[in-house]
Amino acid sequence: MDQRSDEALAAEVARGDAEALRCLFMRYQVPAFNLILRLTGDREMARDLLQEAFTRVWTMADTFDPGRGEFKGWLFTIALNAARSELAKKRHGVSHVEPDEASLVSEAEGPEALLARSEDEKRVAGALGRLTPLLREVVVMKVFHQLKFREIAQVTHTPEGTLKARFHRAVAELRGHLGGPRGDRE
Amino acid sequence: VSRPLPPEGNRNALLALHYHEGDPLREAETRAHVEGCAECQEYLAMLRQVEASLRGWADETPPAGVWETVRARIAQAPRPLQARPLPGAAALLVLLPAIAAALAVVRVVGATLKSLPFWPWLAQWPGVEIVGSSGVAALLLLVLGGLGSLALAPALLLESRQRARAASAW
Repeated sequence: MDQRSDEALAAEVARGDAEALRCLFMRYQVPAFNLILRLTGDREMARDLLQEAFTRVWTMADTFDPGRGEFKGWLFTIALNAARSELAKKRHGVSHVEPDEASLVSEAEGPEALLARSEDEKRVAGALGRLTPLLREVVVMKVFHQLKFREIAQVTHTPEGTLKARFHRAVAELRGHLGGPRGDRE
Repeated sequence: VSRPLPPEGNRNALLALHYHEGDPLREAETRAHVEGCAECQEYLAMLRQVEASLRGWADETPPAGVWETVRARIAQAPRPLQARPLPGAAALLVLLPAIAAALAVVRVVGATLKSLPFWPWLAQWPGVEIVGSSGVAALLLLVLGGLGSLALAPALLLESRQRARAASAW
């Protein structure tokens, strides 16, 4: 595992070092993929946009300025913008997403646990898909990626107050869509 | 469940408390308030419940082969722009002939000015008296250079805006 910082690797990428890009890809492919997947609800699209995002990291590396924020935030901005423009083209939500069977069977869980997980994922994907894209963005970045509101503001170029208002609204809507966690409902 | 939500300012304080993103002193104040406020307790409970439900969607592993596609695409994509290094000593040495050439131009223009019929009149001006014909030539060239830059400014501005737009789009 490469010990260099993200910023050092990004500087190498800007100098045309493909190996540095591979290191960044290995570090961030999972969070970036899951960010896009939860925003778009489409696994195929998430894979394509992940490829697109890292290709953009390569071509735009010289515009990354560590003084303006961390690499992760910059990458998330790229991924978010790619997802936004794709969603704007296709105008679809995330309610159709189905659990990934490969990821389900890869874990040592019994069939009942797998089924429960699959139902949970469908329920969450369905609830997220009913939010407007702007509400979905803030929830995904806050809850799944644990970004601070200040960081989300940097990624989305949106004032923190606006993001918090969206978050409150999203939580209130999700409460209606989700009901309680599985344990509470049984 | 039907209890109204706390006002937005209070809810923001609750978010700061829940995510530990606020000032510690303010957090302690909010915590003390929450202990005696059923409405705020309910809001935090709802927040925790929604979060717990959402976390039912665990992280997935991206499909295999993504890096291979990226690698193939960047092989065809334009290389990132090279960082522009600061001029080193070698670069300064290369600049010396250019500086010498600029001084020679100043000297030639100065000599030309001196040969013009209105030079004796111009030479009486207080500033010109001090800087001489070479000084006036340097000033003249500087003004001409400045005017040239101003003429190019709209084109340069347009290009820099296009570049900034391209950068901010990502």
